Amino acid sequence: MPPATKTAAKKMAGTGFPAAPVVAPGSPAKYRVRVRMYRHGLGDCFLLTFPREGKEPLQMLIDCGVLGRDKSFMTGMVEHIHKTVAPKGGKARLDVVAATHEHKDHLSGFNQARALFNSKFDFGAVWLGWTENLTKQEVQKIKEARKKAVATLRAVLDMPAIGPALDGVEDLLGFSEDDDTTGSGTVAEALEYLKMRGKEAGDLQYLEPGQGPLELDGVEGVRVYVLGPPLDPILLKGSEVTEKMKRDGVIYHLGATGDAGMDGLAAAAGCGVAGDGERFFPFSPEHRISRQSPYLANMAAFLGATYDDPAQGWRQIENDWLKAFGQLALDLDSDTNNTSLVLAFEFVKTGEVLLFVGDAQVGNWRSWADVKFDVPGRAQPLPAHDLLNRTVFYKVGHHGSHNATLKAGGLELMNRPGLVAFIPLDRATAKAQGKKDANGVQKGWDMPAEALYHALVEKAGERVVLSDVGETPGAKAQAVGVRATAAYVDYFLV
Amino acid sequence: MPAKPALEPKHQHLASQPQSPVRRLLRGFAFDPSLATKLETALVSEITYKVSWEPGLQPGPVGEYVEVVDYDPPSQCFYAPVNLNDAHVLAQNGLQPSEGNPQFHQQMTYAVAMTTIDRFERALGRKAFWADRLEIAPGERAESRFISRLRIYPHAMRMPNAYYSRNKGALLFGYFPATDDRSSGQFPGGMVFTCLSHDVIAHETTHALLDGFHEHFMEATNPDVLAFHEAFADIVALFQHFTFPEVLKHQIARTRGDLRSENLLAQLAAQVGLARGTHGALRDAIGRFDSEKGKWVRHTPDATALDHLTQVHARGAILVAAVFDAFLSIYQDRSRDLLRLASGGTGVLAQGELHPDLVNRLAQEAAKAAGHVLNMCIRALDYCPPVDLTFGEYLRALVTADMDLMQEDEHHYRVAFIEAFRRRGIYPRDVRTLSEDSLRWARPGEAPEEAPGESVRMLAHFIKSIGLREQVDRLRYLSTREQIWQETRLIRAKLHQAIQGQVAKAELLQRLTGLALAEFQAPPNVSVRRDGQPVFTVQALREARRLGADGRILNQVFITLLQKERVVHDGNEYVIRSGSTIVLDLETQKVSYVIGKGLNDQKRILRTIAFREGAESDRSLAATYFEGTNEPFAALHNSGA
Repeated sequence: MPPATKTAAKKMAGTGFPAAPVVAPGSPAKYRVRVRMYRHGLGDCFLLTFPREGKEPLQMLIDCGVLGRDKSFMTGMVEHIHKTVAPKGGKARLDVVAATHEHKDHLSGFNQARALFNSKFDFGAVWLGWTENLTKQEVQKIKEARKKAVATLRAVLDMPAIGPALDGVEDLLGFSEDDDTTGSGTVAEALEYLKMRGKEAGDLQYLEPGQGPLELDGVEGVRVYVLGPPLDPILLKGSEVTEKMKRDGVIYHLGATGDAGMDGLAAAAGCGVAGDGERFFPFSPEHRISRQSPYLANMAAFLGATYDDPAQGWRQIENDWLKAFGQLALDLDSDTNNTSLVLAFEFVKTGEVLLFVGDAQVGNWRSWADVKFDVPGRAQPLPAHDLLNRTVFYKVGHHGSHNATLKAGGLELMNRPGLVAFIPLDRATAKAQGKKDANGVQKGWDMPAEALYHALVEKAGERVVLSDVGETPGAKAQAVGVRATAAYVDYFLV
Repeated sequence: MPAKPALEPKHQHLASQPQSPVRRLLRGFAFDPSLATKLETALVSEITYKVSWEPGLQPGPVGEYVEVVDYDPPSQCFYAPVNLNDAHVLAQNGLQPSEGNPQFHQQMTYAVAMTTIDRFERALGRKAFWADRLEIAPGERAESRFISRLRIYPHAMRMPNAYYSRNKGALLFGYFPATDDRSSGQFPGGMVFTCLSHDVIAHETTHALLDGFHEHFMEATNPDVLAFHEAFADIVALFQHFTFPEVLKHQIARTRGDLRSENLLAQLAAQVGLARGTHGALRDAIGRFDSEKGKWVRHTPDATALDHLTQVHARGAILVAAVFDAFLSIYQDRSRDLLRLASGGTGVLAQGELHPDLVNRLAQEAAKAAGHVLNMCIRALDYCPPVDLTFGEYLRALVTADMDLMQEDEHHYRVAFIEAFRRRGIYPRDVRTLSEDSLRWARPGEAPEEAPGESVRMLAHFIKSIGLREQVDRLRYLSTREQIWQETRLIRAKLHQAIQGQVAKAELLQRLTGLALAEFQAPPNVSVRRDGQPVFTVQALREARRLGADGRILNQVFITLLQKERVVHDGNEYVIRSGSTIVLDLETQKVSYVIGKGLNDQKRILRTIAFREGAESDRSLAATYFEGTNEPFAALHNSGA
């Protein structure tokens, strides 16, 4: 078991999940879809409800995770989902459960409320990105590299001499690290659980971009398109994979550090493979003069005038090399974000599109430029950018951070009047993260990024809605079908 | 007992004293260690650097400009400082190049850094300075401190990265195991040292020099500013290749004089590039390895590329390619007669190897042209605006600087530059044509409402009244850089007083520079002191005395003024920096040019704001989680060295 981390200390005060009716006051009686964004903290949980002719509505869950909430809170939320789906009690059927990527803030609920999911829910189908398909060798490699990075970072953070200097890395690791203090278990475990449920239901799908539009059972006139995660580096085989990956600036590859580089860093931090450290030293032992070495005296005058001169203390570089770990943590985070499953729901008659991007970052967004779909009844393939063009509802990526919404070739394409943007974000949680300032107060993550928020507001005006409990959707948002309670915000396409 | 002879002679016998040497010879790698392991290039993999002799050089080496401190924090150890004055070291032109000897690494970084500094000083004709350190004691005003030596850490981290840190006044070099990919042709897992690459050292040293020169060129106010920093560092590293005669001759022989084909001289950081797993040098000024075709292909200039490229290195590469292209045209022009002589007048060389004499002559022409081009590029810095530089303005600075010095453009250098820049779509704003004359910075003119001759008279009087000639003369006879720095600071303070004290002149300068300098005339966004004087700084004062081609001595002073303004746009507040470089001719006591980014240029301010907003979305992920970074070059170089 990994030791308790300070993430645990950041748990929200022990309030339970807020009570709220399953139907928001003022909801329309008739609608084509209801998108429910839960207000449970820094994490994603979306319930999509599509009414069906002469049948119970189709229910689809996209992600169910959070940072810094405990088991009972999340169980409370999943209970609410249950009540919504099965108001008369009994088993609730989730026709589709989609998980976007392997991060805690998207999946923890499947561990935290596991008992409830087991006892009170039926799954119809499970959708995952192709990057979760462990039967593929490339995917295994990616996951192994990632696991190694997480383990290296964890080990380094636990080194008493170094860990405290790694400001901000701890929180970043919170997305992918296995952490038992919130009852969330391992993120990989949540994925395994979903795969198991999918297999049990006889409908586990690994989705690839450009795959023909999917149908939702019994829902007329709605098509689902898969835009990401991008496929291209893996399409090629053998050694070409690495070449192409390198040329393209490496989407599925852990940064510039490389495997040996990572080992070298771990060795330097004193937590590498035992006996393996020697080969990462740049010079043979006789050249190395440590502080304890008897030969240090030979260079005392030199050091006194340079490195050890107190007046020049500002020029010391004790911790600068640790930036490598910060970079590794960033690479790890963004690589995983880029494996996000991206779904677009198209209402065929009106052309309206709902866009769910997970936490897709720049690389994922850029790849959509080349994604096309063969749609029945269409002479030309449908370009993915055409779907962006017709977006009326956008689930903002990565809690509104600046590089999870591409401007050109992304937001700029979304030109439908009345565009609604939902940002799942709890600002209090985001603020309690990141590097510390001079007073030891954490500076917070930049969410939502101001510039992006401005750009969103420019497009969608008051129709930009945060899941933050403190926020009340404005009148204009209400006018286009946004309703809110303390527990969730609904968007209705009537 | 006879008296003992005195151990210390009382009087030195001058006639028998050896003269102090001019150069210190130090062996080193020409590019990086990778050439030594290829048969084709092994012969030219080592060269001897000729570094200026520093009389008081201490072990480290610690000299006047740099101090090499070899501390390796990841390995928690020091490496003993090399003593270059050791008789054994002196006798064999420095330590023998070796990857396994840290003392050689120290020697290599010292040799290349000093060569780069020397190149810079020679082009400018004055001493180089590092960026000041701003010290803020609690409760007191920030104070600038003189930094004598740039510190060099040859083994600072285990990362494929090297960077200049202004915060530490230091260069940090990393080392890393090469990629496991065998197809790169590198020894998999073998240790690669960025501090053994001439290009990396020269590049980082140039960053430090440029930062000491124009401290606001690290502020991204348009897409070109940071790209220029990178491009300039690459340009200096590239053109230094042409000062290695052995390598130059080898490459001229190999390419049969055609430097437009693939060659080592145009490539930067080959080993670091390969070891990181790219198929070729980190950067190449004339071509790249095309992995689809499986071979090297030449770049084709694209006049629209700048419109869509925002990544700093990609943008910078365009400027580097333009400058290199100008150099190639100049070299071609200079060597055409040689090729005709060697080919019986046809200009088409016969098959086979070139005659060694021809190789020598071609190498001379290439070295000469490269030297001139590099001089032009460095001198142009004097003619740049102090903030918000664009590539187009750099072209104007290049042309103006060269026109001042070389009135006749005998070898069509300026035309070559203008053409190369035009082919890559690098145009300045607000010029009417692309001719030399329109590109030259405008001379200050009269305002229509002034009496004829009024402004010229006032400016001349101003220059006289502050005694600029006498002040600058004093500067020229100071011996140490610290003295020069102190004296310059005094002159800057006097200038500041003089400008504010003389309202009439301040008004004239105000018109010329577009800054708010006169009492009670500052726009509302500019801070004003209690006595009604707007806040501005005399940021720098530089002098240059250069010999023109016609034997004329150009005697100039460059003064930069800076001012900050708070602008509110769409509910957000922005601090916009404006500034002006004033070029004065001390011979005629006239203002030659005022190169400015004024407060009054609303369009520029809006562009800056739009750029900053747009740049947000291109920031790295570090900005979200770590609230940005205080080491701009660390992040930048990590993504592309």
